[in-house]
Amino acid sequence: MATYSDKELLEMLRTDQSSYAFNLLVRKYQNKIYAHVRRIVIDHDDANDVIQNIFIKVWKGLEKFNEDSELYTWIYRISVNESLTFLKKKRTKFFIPIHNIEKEMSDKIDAGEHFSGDEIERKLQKALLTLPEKQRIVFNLRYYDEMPYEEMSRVLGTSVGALKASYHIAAKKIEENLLRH
Amino acid sequence: MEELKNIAPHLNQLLKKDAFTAPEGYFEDLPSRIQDCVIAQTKTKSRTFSPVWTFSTLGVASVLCVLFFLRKSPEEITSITKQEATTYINENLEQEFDETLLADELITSDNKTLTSEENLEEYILNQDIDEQLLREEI
Repeated sequence: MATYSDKELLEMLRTDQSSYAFNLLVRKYQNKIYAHVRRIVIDHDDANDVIQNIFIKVWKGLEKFNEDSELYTWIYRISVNESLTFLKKKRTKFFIPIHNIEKEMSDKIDAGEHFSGDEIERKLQKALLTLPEKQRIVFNLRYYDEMPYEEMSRVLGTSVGALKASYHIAAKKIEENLLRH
Repeated sequence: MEELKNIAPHLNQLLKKDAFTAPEGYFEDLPSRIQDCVIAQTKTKSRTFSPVWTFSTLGVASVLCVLFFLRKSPEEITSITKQEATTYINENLEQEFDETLLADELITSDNKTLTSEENLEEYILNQDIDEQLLREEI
């Protein structure tokens, strides 16, 4: 299947080939977005729900997308928002605000379903769950996606300086956690 | 990564890998499943809140409620004295007057003595009869 640039996809999305173009867009970003979401919500079924919501939002928002940012930056931004919204809803399920979803996600890692990591990787993922949500996202984007801070700043709407500080703090916490266990 | 080397050397040494995996074939049909969701969402027309429609309905409902409470109750309509009834009848003699209705009313009225034809006859005889009316009847 031919690969198209974001610019080409956006042009195609504005024609009567929009369905086909959207299909191509999903194929282009599905792996990356799935990995990104999965690292946040941990569970595959949850990630599946979130990723569908993300691309539905992308489809609905394409008309208004004014290209003031890159397409993938915009998609990543939607991904972060949808993932955080999902976690927030899960946290207040049944109107109980004390639902410990971090414990639930940690148990899912231990269960090992759709998880191919070794013991060290398991420890790393569980250590990441001890971080505040946004700090965890910053760490994931920098460590796994190797996203430049300038781009991350556009995705998260936070200054480069704050992101650097956040990543450094997160990395130190993870290091301490790994050495402790 | 040079950045991690100083702040987290142990972490920096770890082999970076994406340990989260998807079920086999997941990405093959994900685009079509998403397309199905998009089509389903497009077909579903959600009812949106229309302020104009809502407030118009409330306005009409309010008017109907006011009219309902302002109307005369049945008790008010029937709470007229015999004198008022007689006056009304006298003023409207040119209209057809159903004397059976009057007889029925007399029988069922509060005057409990009018329970038989005899009592009715006596009652009528004791009332001021409009002679003109009688003559017209004859």
